[in-house]
Amino acid sequence: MNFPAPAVVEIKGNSLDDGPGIRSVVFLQGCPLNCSWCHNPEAIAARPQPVRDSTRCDAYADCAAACSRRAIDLVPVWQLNVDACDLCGQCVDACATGAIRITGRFLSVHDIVATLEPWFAFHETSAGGITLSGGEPLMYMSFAGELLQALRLRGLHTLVETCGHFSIEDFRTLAAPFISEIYFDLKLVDDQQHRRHCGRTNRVILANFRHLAAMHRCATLAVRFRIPLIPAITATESNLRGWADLLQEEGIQAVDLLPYNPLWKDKARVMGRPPSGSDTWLSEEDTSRCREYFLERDIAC
Amino acid sequence: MAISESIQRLDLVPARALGADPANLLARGLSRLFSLNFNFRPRYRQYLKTRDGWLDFSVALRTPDQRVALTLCFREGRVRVLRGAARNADTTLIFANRLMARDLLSMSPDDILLALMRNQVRVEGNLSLMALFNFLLSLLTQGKSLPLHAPAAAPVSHAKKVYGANSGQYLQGCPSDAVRHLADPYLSRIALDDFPRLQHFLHIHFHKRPEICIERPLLLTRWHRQYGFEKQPDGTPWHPVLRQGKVLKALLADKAPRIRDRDLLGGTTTSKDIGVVIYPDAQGTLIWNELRTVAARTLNPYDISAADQTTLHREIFPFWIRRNFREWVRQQYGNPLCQRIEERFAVFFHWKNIALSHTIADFPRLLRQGSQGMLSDIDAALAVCAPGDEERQHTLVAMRLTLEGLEAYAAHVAQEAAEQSRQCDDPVRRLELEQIARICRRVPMQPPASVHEALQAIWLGLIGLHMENTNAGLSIGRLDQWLQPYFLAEMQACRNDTERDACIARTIELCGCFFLKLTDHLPLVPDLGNHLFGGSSSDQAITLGGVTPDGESAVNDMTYILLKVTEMLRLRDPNINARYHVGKNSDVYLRRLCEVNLLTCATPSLHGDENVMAALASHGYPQEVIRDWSAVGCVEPTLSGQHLGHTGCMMFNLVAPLEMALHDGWHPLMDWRPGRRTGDAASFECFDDFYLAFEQQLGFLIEQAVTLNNYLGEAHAVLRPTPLLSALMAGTLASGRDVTRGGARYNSSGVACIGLADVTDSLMSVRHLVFDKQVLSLGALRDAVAKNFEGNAKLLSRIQTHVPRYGSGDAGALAMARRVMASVHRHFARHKNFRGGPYTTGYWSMSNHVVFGNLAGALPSGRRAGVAFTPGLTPAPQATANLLDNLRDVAMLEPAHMDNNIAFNVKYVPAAEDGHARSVQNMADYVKSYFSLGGMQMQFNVVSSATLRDAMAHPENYADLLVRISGYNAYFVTLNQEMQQELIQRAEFSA
Repeated sequence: MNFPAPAVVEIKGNSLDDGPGIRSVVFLQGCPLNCSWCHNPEAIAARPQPVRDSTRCDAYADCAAACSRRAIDLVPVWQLNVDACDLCGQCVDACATGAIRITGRFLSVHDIVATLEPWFAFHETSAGGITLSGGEPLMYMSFAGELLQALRLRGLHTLVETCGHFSIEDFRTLAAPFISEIYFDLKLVDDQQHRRHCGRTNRVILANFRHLAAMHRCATLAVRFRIPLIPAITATESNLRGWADLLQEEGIQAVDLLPYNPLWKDKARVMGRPPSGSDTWLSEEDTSRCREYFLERDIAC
Repeated sequence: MAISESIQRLDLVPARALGADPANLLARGLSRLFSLNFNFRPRYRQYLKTRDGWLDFSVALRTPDQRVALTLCFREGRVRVLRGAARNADTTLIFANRLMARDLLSMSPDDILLALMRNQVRVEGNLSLMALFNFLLSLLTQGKSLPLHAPAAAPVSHAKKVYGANSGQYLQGCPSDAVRHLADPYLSRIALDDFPRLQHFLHIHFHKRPEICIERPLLLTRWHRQYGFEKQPDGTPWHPVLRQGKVLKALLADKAPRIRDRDLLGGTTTSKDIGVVIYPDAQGTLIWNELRTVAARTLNPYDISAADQTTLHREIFPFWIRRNFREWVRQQYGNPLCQRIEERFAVFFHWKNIALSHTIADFPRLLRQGSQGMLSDIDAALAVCAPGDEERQHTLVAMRLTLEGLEAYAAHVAQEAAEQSRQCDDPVRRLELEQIARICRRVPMQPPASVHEALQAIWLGLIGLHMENTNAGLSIGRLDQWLQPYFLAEMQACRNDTERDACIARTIELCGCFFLKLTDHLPLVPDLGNHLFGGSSSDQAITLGGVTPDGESAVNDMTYILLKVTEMLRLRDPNINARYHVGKNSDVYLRRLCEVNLLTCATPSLHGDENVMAALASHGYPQEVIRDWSAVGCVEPTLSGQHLGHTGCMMFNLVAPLEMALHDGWHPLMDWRPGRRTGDAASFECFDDFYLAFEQQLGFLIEQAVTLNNYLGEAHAVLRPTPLLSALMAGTLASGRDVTRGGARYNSSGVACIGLADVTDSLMSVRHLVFDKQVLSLGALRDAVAKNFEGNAKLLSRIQTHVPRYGSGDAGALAMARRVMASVHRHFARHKNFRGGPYTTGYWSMSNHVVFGNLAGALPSGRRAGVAFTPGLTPAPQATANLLDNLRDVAMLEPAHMDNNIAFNVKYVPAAEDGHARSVQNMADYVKSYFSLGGMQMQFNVVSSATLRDAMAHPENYADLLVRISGYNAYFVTLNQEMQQELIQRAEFSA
């Protein structure tokens, strides 16, 4: 599972929601899972490709004309022949309305640090730092480790958001020493359900959950466990009680519940990925009911 | 002189198609109608007569092609309409086209001003007379286009309303910096409800209609009619400085002493609750045309009694038609090119036409010595004055006279207070009045002994300065530093906590009264000014915090007390400026600044102390003097009490030279090539060729702007020296010169440059599209711009999505902004002002970015014609969604090239779920990072676009909604619509 280097989907400055203080977030491309509610669908595919925002496209057709490999079809709808595309970027330059962009760029650790550098002053003053997200940032463990090490050497707080599906041996040696804090997402406790909604078995995730819980207990790594509350998928009684049991077994006393946010759907539509799932926010009542399952086991949330 | 003779004097140029042109016929017909009314109807004819006899002047009306051409001649109570436009008419209206000429005589004063601003009509010649002519017109047209009732503001409860995202929460602080007595310096348990007196004055502030006060102009004009202006009654010429000393002493001695009901400080600027002061010796006559309509205008109306209208028309204004700065320059220098450019509104606007008061008086000296001590110093200087050194002699005598006038006024206020106390039934109020009487018998003569006395001394000094000189940004200075010793003494005299709490509350109330005294008058704003500087007050800056002259943290108890007052009152003026020194000032203080900003939505303005001082250091001022800087007017750094920096001398439009460079020297709106050709756009072979053309036009316009500023500086020295301000300015005793004549220890003139982001983005667009990517030629780009991108949506899209902008974090765009600023600074630095000081350059815009934007065509940046420029040096809203890039780009600009400071607006809306403490902390983090990176100034608007839209729809609910424009604060509902739109369209950042 150790590909040499991932593409970077986006580097975003000025985030107040992805950890303490003012942060920048590096989104790495590629994910072992394929969750139906994924908020960053452009980060699932493991390779960069041009995508078109249909809401901005004025159909000038300059993209197809500019493509030397004829990889863009306009009829019946805009379509990219992924295999023909060599990512030259001519279509992006040619498009007057800025509707086309290439999701993902191959950047070296050095380039990523250079992109982040202008914002370091903000991270330092605010006791913030850099968050690695994705995709699954630990899918490329050695790359992630190098990047995290470079950031730690600059004195920055580093935080990793993971789905939990990674090689624990590599993690211990390559990444863990350079992580200030890790956010571990707990989705579906039942393997059948997990396979169905996330496209893969959760066996590795459950094993890693126990490893990281142990590291957290011994204070060798600061871990926060988080559960996204997806209506009718993760926010069910059996799933949440299942997690509450596991957390209690591992002696974990706190969990973050993340209420469902339907805003991701626009993003999916732009990507041409049919959105599924609920259109509404999780109600206040539902959220507090979810919270009860944990509070009754003395797990703060 | 007989009428026929006077007509013969006029050099008439006949109409091209004599009488045949329909527009000319109509204009002549209407003019005849006008003349018939004034010649034969007594109710109109009476207005042709003033205190000086019948009006005697001529107005020519014409089109550039002379197809419309006629002259109205006013003489001996008759109006004659003459064929042809007189070349030597006193004032000439030139219409851009014949339709305008046809419509003029039926237009309202409002319409005429708008037409003037848009260059559909222009005036050559005396503007006072043009205002007079428009006034006469308004007598005939009045009633048209006038709303019958001005909208009344709805009552507002000041204690509870919070417009920001967080309400009802207050942080607590802990003692920090140089705080000695406040256990919770945030004073979180004190609220406006504790001060009914302040609520009373706030109510007046928000609900009392301002009223024009003629006390000052009437006393002034009467004195001059008796003692002469150019010459004394015996025929010998006046020395201007001595004359001003005498007239100010008389003004102050004759001014009615007034004490507002419930006030703790005696004396008022005017005879009204909120008085509009008229300075006919500056721009006062420009309200002439509005005398009949000013009470009914939509924006910021003023009341004025019929009797006062008559007095102004008959007695006051006629005396000043030619005795004001603008007209003095026109006569002295023959309507010079620089003045003709300025009067087209589109290139630069000179505040020096109005005032030279953008400075800070040496109040610490008045507090230290009292006026008696200062008089002794003057006498000592007079004793050693060389015989024959008339300038020094007259100046020192004039300074003496003005201080005597100030003392006379204080004595009258004391008498008035004593008189009122004798008639007062309320025992509490009686004691207060007795105390005012006691204090005003002591200050400003003697050094004060309490906060109350110190504030009274400063306030009396300010009244004197307001009587002498137009209040345009006359600022207070480091009030926290000056009051702290008195506060400490009072606190030390307290015996227990109860007394100490009472002392703190009393100090807050006194400072609140002082803030509200500063709102007791408004500058006279002609309706044109409502468009130019919408919602602006006088911009009286108070500066807090920073470091002491020794370099230690200056944040003290009074800093926090004044911040509490700022938070509670939420006034647009005084304009609170806070210095924050990274390293020297605590995080506790920074968090409080951000909390007050969040609670008030818009104030204080925040300054990166080290970086502002770095800008000042580029002039080589001594370090301890630099450390004592304070802000003037909007944001401009001045060496307190010893520096006539006239930091608001002009507003300069940077986009005008860009438009001229694109069009070979021709300016589209003015339809005029005032300077030289710099090459057809199609002929430039590389970007640097184009930049050179821009820089040549820039240099030309700067030279013109400076020339006019220097002429106006001379006009001030001749027409209105300011000996009281001179007495209150360090350096004048040594120099023996009035401050208008370079007498202050330090001199400079500060410029506000407008449109930096628009120019930078336009230059980026030219380089990217024409020279880097070669998408189209410069000629084609120019043509697309000239057509406002009509039929060229694709090009507009490409510009908006592909051209990197200043503020986006793009290194090339940042370098371009730095290049433009270096050019601007280099051209201004080549010149000296009239007083011998350098020019400084700043990037703040008041609301002129809206006006100049309104008057500019489309730009290569993709900005459409007529749209507001970005305020100050704030990047364009579409530059980035990442606030960090914005902050960093601005912080990376060169302080030495921004020595007149900047206004960087950030609209920040905290997320509702963040909570009060986290929101304040986030703001503090942004500010501290920005200052650490080199930022000089920033200001938050903590109000969402949604709230602003609601305020546009329901102004009655938002009477006190405070917003930051560019350098100053305004109440949103007092702004014109374009300004309101500009605020809504600003980039809104949340994380």
